[in-house]
Amino acid sequence: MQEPLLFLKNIHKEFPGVKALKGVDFTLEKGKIVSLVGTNGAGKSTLSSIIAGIYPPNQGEIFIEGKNVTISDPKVAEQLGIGIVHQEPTLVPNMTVVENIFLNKEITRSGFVLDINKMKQESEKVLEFLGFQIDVDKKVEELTLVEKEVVVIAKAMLLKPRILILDEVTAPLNKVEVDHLFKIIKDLKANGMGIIFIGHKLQEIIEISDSIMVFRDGKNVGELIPTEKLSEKEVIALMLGVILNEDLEAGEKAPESEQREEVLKLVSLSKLGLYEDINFTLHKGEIVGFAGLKGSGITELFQSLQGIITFDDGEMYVKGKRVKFKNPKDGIESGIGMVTNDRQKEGLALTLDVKENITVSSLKYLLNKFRLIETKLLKHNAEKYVQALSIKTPSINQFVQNLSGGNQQKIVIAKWLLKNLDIILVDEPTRGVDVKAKNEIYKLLINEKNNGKSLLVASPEIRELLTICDKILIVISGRIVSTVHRNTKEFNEEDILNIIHSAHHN
Amino acid sequence: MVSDTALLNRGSIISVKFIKDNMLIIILLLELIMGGILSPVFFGKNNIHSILINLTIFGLLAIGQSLVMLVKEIDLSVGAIMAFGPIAAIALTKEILAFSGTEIIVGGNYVVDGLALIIVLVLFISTLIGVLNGVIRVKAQVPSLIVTLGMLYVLSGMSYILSKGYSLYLTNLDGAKWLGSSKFASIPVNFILFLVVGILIILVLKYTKVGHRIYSTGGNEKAAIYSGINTNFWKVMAFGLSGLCAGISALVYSSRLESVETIQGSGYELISIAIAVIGGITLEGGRGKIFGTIVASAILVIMLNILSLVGLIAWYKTIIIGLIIIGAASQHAFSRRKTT
Repeated sequence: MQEPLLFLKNIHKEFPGVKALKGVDFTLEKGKIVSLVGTNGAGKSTLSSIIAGIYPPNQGEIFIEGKNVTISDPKVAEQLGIGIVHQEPTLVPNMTVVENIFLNKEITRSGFVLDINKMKQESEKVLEFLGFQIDVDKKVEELTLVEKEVVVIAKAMLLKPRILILDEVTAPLNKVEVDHLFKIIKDLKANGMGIIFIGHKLQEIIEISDSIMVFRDGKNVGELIPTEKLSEKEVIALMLGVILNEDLEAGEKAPESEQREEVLKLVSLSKLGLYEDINFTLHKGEIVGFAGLKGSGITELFQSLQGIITFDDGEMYVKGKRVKFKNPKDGIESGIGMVTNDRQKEGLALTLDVKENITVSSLKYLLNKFRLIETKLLKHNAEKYVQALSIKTPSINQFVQNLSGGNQQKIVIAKWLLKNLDIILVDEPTRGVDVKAKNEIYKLLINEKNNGKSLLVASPEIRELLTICDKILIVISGRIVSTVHRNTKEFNEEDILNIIHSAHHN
Repeated sequence: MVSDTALLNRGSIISVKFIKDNMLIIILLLELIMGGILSPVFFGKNNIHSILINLTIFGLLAIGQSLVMLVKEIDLSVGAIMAFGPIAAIALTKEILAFSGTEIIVGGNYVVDGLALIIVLVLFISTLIGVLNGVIRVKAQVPSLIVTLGMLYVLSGMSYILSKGYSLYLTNLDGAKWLGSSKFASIPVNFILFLVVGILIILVLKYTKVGHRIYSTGGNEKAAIYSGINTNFWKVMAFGLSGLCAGISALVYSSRLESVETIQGSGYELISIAIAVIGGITLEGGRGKIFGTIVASAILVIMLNILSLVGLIAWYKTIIIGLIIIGAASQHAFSRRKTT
C-alpha cells in the first residue's frame, strides 16, 4: 500500500495558557482535498501552521511519504514541497507583484544580478494558470483585495508544492470567483497535489472536499465524507457537539416594514466610476441586503452613505431631511454608522483592549461630572455588550488582537450598537467568522431590526442575505438591476444567482 | 481620476505628472538658478568645492541613514560616531604603535604618524558600532530610537574622555589632507568617492536580491519572515553600513579640516534624517529611493550655501531647513494619498 502524502501522528501543541492541540492525528493522500473545520480556537490553524513550519509541535511526529521529517522553519517546509496561503495577505505593499511573488526565491543571472524579465515571465505564467490578469509591475498596495489574494496564491504555487494549504482563501471572494478557484484546485488535485483547505463556509467545504476533518477543542473529533446526504447541519453538529437550531424568525415581519416610516431615501445617487443612479428607500425596522459581484460599487456606496467618501450627484435624505456628508462624523451625527469589511484596519484599535474598543466611540456619554471618564460606567457598558453579544473573551481587559475573528467582529458591532444609531451599514458582517459566531451575529442584527433600527447589509454570501434581509437589491457595475422581496418566489439563491449572471453577461 | 496629462495640450511634455515625478530634481535646478542669481561667487571654484565637500559629508551620512530607515529603523548615533571613530582610532593606534616604540602624538596633540592604521581603525570601529547598534536592537528587542540614542550619549562621553577635551591636529601628518583636498581632473576626490558609494548602493539595491531583502524587511516584516528572509540579519547589516558611512564621512571631514574635534559631527544625525525624509524615505520603512536621498543632500547643502552667501545668520537657516523638511514630507505623503 502506498504511503500517504502527509501523516501527522499524535501532535500536541501548547501556547502560554492554552493547549491548542491535544494529540491530533492527520492523514492527507495524494490527489485529495481534506478540509479542516471547527470553530475558532479549535486547532485547525494551529495544525496548518505546524505543517507550514511556522512553529514546531511540542510532541508528535510528521511523515511525508513515509519519511519522518522535522519542519523547523518556513524555508524547510518549502523545500519539503509544502506551500501555504495565509489568511491575511502577507505581501509587501510598496513592492510590485513580481517582486512579491519571487520574494526570497528570486531568479538571478550568475548568482548576483536579478533576472527581472525571467521573473516577470514566470509570474505571468502562474497568474495565467490561475486565470487572472494582473499587471505584474503594479505595486501590491494598488491592487484590490481579490487581486492580492490571487498574488498570495501565485506565490505559494511558485515552487510547485506537492502539499498546498489554503487558509480562508475564499473569504473575500464572491461565488463566481470561488467557482473559478475551485476549478483550479480540482485541476491541481488531478495532478496529484494534496490540498488542505481551511474555511468557514460549509457549503463550499462540502462542495470541494474529499473528506472533512472536524476539530473541536484541540482534538480531531471526526471525519465526514461529503456524500449526497451530508448536510451542513451534520457538520455543524459535530463542530459544536450540539444540534443547532437554524430557524431565525426573520421572515414573518417583512411585508409590514414597507408601511413604516422612511429613515433613508436615495434619489439618483451617483459617483463617477463607482455607482450610478441609485434609488431606494429604507424603512424603520427593515434590513435591506445588497448583493453583487466584485466591482459592483456596493462598498463605495456604503462609504458614501456614512460619509467616508462623498457622492457626486443625486440626493440623500435621512428621516426626510436632505443631507450630504463631508466626513464620517457628519454621518454619525445624522444617525448612520458603518461596520466596514476590514475590521483589522478600519474597525478595531488593535493596541487597545475589549472594553476600550467597545466604548471608544461613546466616551462622551461615559463622563462624570468632572468630565473625566467614569471607569465603572465604561466597564459596565462593556460587560453589558460582551454578555449580550456572547463575546468570548477571558475578560474585558483582554487585548482585542488576541481574540478570534468572530469575536473581533462582534466587538466592532458592539461599538456601533452602543451608540444607539438609527441606521447601521454592515459590509460583509461575517467575513472570516466561524459558524457559531455567524449565527450569533445574524441573531444580533435581526434583534436590532426588531428594536426599530434599520440596516443595510452587503455580503458576497447570498445565503446570508436570504437569512436576514427583508429585501435584496442586486447591484451590477454600480447599478441596481433588480430587487427581490422576501416571501416572493424569486427570493432564493438560484434565482438571484441567475439574475446576477445574466446581468453580468450583458 | 482623470489623467493629469490629458488636462494639458497633447504634445506637451511638461505635465503635472512630470513635475510630480521629478520634483526633487526640479527643485535642485531651481536652486542652482537661484544661487547664480543671488550671488556672483556661487559658481566660483571655491564655492563649488565647498558645496561638494559638504555634499560628500552629509550625503554619506544620509545614505547610511536611508538604509536604516528603509528597514524601518533609525540611527541617532551617526553624529557621535563621526567623533568617536577617529578619536578611538587614534587612541588605539597610539597604544599599538607605542609597543614598537613609535610615538604618534607629539607636542600634546599633534598626530604625526600611523595614518594607515588610523584609517583602517576608523572604518572598523565605526562599522563595529553600527553592528553593535543592530545586534542590541534585534536581540534585546529594544527600539532603535532608544538604542542609538543611548549609544549617542555613551560615545559622546567616551570621545571626551579619550581626547581629554583637546582637539587633535593632523597638519603634520603626511597624507592626512589627501582625502579632504586633493582633486582628480579638478573634481575633489572625496566627491568622487561619494558618487561611487552612492551609485554602488543604488545598483545593488536595484539589481540584486539585497534590495528585495531590505525593502521587504522594512515594508512588511511579517511577509519577509514568512518568505524565509532573515530580517534580523538585514537590520544589523543596515546599521553596520550606517556606521561605515559615518566612518567614511568622518575621514573626509577630518581630512578637510586637518583636525579631529571632540564634538565633530554633533547634531549631524538629525540632518541625515532630514535629508532622508526630504528625499522621500519614510519612517514606516520599505519606501523611498537612494537616488532621492542623493538629490535631497544636494538640495539641502546648496540651500545652506546660498543662505550663507546671502548673509543670513545661522538661526534663520535652521528655520528654513525645518520648513523644507515639513514641506517635503507633506508633499511625499500627499502624492501617495488615495483618491476619494
